[in-house]
Amino acid sequence: MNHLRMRRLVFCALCCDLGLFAKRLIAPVTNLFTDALRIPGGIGTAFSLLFLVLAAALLQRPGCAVLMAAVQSALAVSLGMVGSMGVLSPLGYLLPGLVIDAVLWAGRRTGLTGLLPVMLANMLGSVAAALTANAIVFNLRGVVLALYLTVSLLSGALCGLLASKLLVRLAPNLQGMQDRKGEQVK
Amino acid sequence: MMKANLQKKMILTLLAVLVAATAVLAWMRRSEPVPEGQIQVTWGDASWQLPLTQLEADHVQGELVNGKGEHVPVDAPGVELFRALETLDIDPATVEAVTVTAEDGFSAQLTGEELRTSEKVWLSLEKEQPVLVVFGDSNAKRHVRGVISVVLS
Repeated sequence: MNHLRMRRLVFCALCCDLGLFAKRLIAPVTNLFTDALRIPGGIGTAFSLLFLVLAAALLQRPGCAVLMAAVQSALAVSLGMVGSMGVLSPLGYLLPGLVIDAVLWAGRRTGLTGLLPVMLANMLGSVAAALTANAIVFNLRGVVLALYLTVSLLSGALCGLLASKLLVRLAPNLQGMQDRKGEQVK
Repeated sequence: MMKANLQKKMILTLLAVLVAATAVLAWMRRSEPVPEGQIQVTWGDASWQLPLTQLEADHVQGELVNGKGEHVPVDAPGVELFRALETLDIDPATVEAVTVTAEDGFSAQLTGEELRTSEKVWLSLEKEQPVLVVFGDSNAKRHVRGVISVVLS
């Protein structure tokens, strides 16, 4: 295994762990907002997806986010962090990962660079996670579902912006992380 | 390639739209009345207010199994859901399904058979908050805190 590949894997593993535990770390703060809005969540997930988006955007490899999501779901299941989704909890990780990969891939295909694709990936990944949680657990409808999805989109957008800012700072320090054909984030 | 300025404008517009939509929806959500200490029971076109705190309380005792497989003891005052419905002159034998919804929109479904099973489905009072307790579930998925409505079908 060459040095470059090892660096990529270590970075992905770090982002997997950060994504998995970040949600729990910021839960006391996010609960203040979700309790006030009387919705069952949506903000913490957007923050945890930031790390998946960051790694996937930096490595620019197809399937990177799905692979990391699979690792996260395996870790969550093995640590008993399945929450109220039970055995279906891997879906709550895999579907957002799939959406993130699809958005970043579409961004690369269309030549869209900069903040926008990263922000969109985080936004749509958050909404995918929210819809999955709603289908499996919450069963929300009407205004409350609309508010839950809008909060997911907004927090996804803000976390996506944070991810793109981090990307700009990290990219020069992690030279060689991209594929040869990959484009540096500007 | 999209120009950086155009992209920034698009992002700012998107954020503004999302903030506005969140504010409007949050206002709509806040204006939905939440009855204090009462649970709204709806069956078709008919609806009742169930004053849980005024019902003769029983003792809800048992164990719930949470998502991690841990056994969590329950010991609180409360009343069996079918008995609470009987106080409203609703015959539980005619109920086929029940949807219990919390203040935050979280909801759980019960079958009529579960409703009629003795000592299985309770409405307990924890910290003056109505809580749906369903014994026998493997992951406490139907442990609904802050119950505000019960819809029967």
